[in-house]
Amino acid sequence: MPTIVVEVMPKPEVLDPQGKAIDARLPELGFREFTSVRQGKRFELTVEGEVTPDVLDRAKALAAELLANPSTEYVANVEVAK
Amino acid sequence: MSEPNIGVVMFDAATDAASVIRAVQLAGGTPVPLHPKTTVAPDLADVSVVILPGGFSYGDYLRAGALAATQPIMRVLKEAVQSKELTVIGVGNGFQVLTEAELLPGGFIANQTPGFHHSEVELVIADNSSAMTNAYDLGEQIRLIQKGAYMQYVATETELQKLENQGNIIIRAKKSADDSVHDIVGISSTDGFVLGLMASPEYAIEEGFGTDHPDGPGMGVDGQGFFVSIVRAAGAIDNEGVVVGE
Repeated sequence: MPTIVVEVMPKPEVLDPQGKAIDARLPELGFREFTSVRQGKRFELTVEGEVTPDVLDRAKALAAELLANPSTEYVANVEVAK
Repeated sequence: MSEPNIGVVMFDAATDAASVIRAVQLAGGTPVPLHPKTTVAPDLADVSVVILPGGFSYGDYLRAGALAATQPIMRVLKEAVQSKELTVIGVGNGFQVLTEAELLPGGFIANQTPGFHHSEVELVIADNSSAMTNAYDLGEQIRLIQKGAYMQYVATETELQKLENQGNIIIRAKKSADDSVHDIVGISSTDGFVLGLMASPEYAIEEGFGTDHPDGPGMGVDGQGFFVSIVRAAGAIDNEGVVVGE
């Protein structure tokens, strides 16, 4: 069955304490290539049948209405999983 | 004045609901438990103030308060608030529910040091005319418990300026414990009908079982004023949402 992936990230101007906590550990672990980490969320929506444009629109509506809070987050991506 | 009815929304598994009910009773109010799935306005007929208790209802998995905010009763409360028939007050997780329901501006993100924190914090009453602070003195310092993993309040610069300019920041941290912007711990909507407090006054209402105090551990009962304020307000709210008299 096809899956729609929704990715939600903290807004750029909002602090991301989880990402910062991960970031702070990187130098000690030897990962000096990365200058910052931001942590988001990935949701997988299983669809029965074909993913029509209408179904994808419904996924976008769900993402905007519930999965992301516009005060602190934004919907980074909505796509059919490959 | 008979004991005013105070609605308490019984969100599934909200850990603080029973303590809020007890606090309302001790403050002289009559708690009226409300089912989160109710869509029946008559349930609210004899209630002028409703409390959303804290306590991680539905978990913090999506976002703290996000799923509680989708419960049917929130639509009923929103309509009653918009028609200025009801005051709604969110405590702890209840405050998060109110921001998720867009009844209050801003939102909550993870604590500055991520993880669940439980501590006692010093707060300052910045406005003592609201439905949750009228029993306190202006500038009074109170000590309450704060507990949770997502207690850091954030809002846009425009929203923060509006809160400041309109005097809607009602309770501030003396020293910002969770690094919330502008030391915000308690706010109200522009019209004063929706209020939120990111602390747990229901755990500072009985001597021996309250917060730390010079008289001894557990002797701090600074949360009493919060519930006395609500009970007073419920008996004396006029239709502009202003608390009249004492």
